[in-house]
Amino acid sequence: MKQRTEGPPIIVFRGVSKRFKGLQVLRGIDLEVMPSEITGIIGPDGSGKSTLLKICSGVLSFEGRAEFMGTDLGKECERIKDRLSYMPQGIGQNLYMELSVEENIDFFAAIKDVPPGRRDPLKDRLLEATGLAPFRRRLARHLSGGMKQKLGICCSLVSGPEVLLLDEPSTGIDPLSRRQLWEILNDFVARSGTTVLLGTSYMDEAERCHAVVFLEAGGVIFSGHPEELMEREKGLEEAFFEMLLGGRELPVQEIPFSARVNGGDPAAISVEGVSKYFDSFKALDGIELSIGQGEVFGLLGPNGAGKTTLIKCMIGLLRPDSGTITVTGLRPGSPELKQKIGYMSQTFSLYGDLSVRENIELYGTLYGVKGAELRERMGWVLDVSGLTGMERTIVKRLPLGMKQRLALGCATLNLPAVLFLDEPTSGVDPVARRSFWQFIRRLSERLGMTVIVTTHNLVEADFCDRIAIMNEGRVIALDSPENLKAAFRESQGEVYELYPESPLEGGLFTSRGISVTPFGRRYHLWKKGLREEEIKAVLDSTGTACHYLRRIRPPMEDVFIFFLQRRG
Amino acid sequence: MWQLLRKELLHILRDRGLVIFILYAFTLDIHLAAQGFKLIPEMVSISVYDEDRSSRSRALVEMITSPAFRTPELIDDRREIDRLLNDSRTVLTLVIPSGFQRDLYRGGASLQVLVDGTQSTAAYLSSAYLGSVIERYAEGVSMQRLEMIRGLPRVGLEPRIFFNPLARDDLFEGINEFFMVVSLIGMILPAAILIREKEYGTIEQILISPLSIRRLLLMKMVASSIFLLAMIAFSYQFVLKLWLGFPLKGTIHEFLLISLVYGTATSGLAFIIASVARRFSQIGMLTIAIFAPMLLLSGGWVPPEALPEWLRRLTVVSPMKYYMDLGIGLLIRGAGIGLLLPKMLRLLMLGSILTALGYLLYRRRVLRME
Repeated sequence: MKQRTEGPPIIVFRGVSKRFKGLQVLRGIDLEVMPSEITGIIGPDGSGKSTLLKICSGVLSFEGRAEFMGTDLGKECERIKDRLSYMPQGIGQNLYMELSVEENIDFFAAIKDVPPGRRDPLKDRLLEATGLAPFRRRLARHLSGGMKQKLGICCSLVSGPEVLLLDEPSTGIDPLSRRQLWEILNDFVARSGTTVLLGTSYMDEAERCHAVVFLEAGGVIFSGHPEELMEREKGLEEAFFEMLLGGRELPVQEIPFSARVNGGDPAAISVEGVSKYFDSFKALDGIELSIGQGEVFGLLGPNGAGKTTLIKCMIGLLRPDSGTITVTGLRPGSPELKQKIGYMSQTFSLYGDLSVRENIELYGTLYGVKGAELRERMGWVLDVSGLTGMERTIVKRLPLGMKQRLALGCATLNLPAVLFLDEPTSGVDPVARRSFWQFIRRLSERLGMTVIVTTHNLVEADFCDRIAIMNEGRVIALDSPENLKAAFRESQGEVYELYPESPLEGGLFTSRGISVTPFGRRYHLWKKGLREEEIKAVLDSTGTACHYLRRIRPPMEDVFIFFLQRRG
Repeated sequence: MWQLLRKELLHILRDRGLVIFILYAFTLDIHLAAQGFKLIPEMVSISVYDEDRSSRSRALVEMITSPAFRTPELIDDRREIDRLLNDSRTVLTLVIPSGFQRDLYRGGASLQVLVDGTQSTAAYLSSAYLGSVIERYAEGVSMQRLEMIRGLPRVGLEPRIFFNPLARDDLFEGINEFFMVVSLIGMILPAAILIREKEYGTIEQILISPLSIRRLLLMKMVASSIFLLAMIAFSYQFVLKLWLGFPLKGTIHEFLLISLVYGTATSGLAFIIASVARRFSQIGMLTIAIFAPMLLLSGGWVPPEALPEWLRRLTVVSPMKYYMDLGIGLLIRGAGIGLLLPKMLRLLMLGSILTALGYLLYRRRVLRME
């Protein structure tokens, strides 16, 4: 591995502020981005992550002083444009949907004047690393979300930029694609000395960065190495919350009534041998599941694994081709069941042109909740979603996090016995996500509500009572998160986190059969039967000094990929 | 029930672009159509190359007057003719050959008219009109000479025009445009508020809720009909009657009743459109795709008699044909509602079939969602 240069910072911000239509988006930002490092810009929605990245890319004006490799971004932003690549937020935003995978990459190479001789080897390497090689001729619009995002990264990297700016590159993509994405980034940083600046709201991604900048309401609340925050067993997410809340507790949303929603049947959902085809594509393949009443049940899996299809079969939007499903003993799609379920789709399904109050009233009308009951529940929904006082706001003007909470409130307005949530937290910031889960747990504990959740965010698996890992239409693992982790340890051995004082030599551990994943300045090491002494012996033999070496709980992502690969 | 209806009305009223478009269509667009279409040429530029320079040729040139024509531009040089035509400076050039007066009295004078055919309609209209001017001139000359002969057989034609005594073509064009606007908006409006459900993703919420698709579509139909009828009433009173001063017959209630019946057909078509379209932007295109043949079959552009036989038979399935017949019957001919009833029932039947078809297609589409 290339030794990191501790040279002068590549991007420097001094008192940078930005205002949009009278709204202060960034206030007096000081920032230094070091070369050949991955710097993460972390923060909730609306904290200014995208604005900061856009200023770095030279497409936004600002107040204050910002330098990019010694060039004043305020004056000569044109000069830096061929030294950087910028990938905007949103899946496939920079792609041409009517061009094939290869044509997209060629196009991005052409606009940056990359000659074919230099382009082709790089292109092959990128396609290989992202697993896109078999799909060279496929049109971009026929790619899945994860593939589009990986192609977007390929397009950004094919010009061999010195600086890569990525705005939430892994939002809405599955764990496998995410892992590949990080492998490419680590590879480019190590081999080509690329500097990466990326915005994210995933805490587990922040842990993979060399440096992090926490933004909150347009200001920097922390800037430095993640290791400075991660003491002992405390993860970065914990540390971030403590910082953000400043000792305050996350407000607890009480449920102001003592209702019990109850299906009457001990199994809230039973799925027996369910298969579903889309033409010749087998979306679900003989699913067997039984979900108990009051359980918070997670469905995890890569894109196209069948999670959404399974949920749609359960709520009656799709009819399985074989097998039977009963929800609280009733058949999906039956009028009795319709009254007893709630559903929140990936798109939050609210009426964008209606106000907050009108949306809630409409859900009331749909489920026959009216009069005093509606008033009581409306107060509750407004309270839960933090929208009290904003009843008249038109929904499309709300930020994503608020929409998500409102959608959740609307889906629970009829106090369903079973609540289905399809990727409810996609693109939502960590604080909103935390209070969301708190609310879900409470619904399950206080009301006995059964909650089925699909998610890509593996950190969230820990909030579920049980999870089912799905792949290619099958359930490949089904248990509590703790048991799944135990099974991983059993088969793969313990996971250790090593924080050396200087970057490790390449091949130091891999030559001994130990798997290594870089996490910023730290490394995760694992092997079946691996013990601390063995690692220490290696470190001693090469005289590598380290800050710490400790055993950690295996990250859910590793567990997930383990189960995925175990079944081939 | 009221909540659902209110929701649909809010969808319409909060779509500012849609409301502005509808307001424009029901006011200015109709006014422009009524005023803009003229079947008589107006201020056409014309040049005259008079080789004869006689009293007779001058008398002819004097008859080329406004408002149909601009003051003729007189040219002296033959080469000038080509130049003017090539530069599109004049639409028509009248060439009066030398010896015109002499030949006229011998009974065989000829004239040449050069026409710029680029704008075929204008060229056709203005050259035909010039032809009639020349005919009138020739008739005048003949009459002068025939006046001495008695007992010459003559036919006097005195047309008496019913229903539109002034033969105002703005009346026909204005009413025609009005019907077209009602048809277009009648399709776009329900389709627009239906596609919103797909765009917001709320259709899934509706599907899993106890509300049936039938009720949802019914509410959309009622809401868009309310809005449409309000616009029709407004346009009828203020644009057609007040602004354009059309002498309309029949009462507004009768006309709204006809429009309501027609609304079942346009809503049905709108549901069909919404079951095919994926996005709001596709609604416009699909509406035009349905509207164009419907217009052709309705007699709005071309009289049905001018259509080939097989196309003329197809006019039975164009709801717009019924609407235009009924509307013209009521507003211009002043036929009573009793007289129009059979046709209204047929329109209602057609509308019911289209609505049922639209419902089935839409239902099939949303239930097969992935």
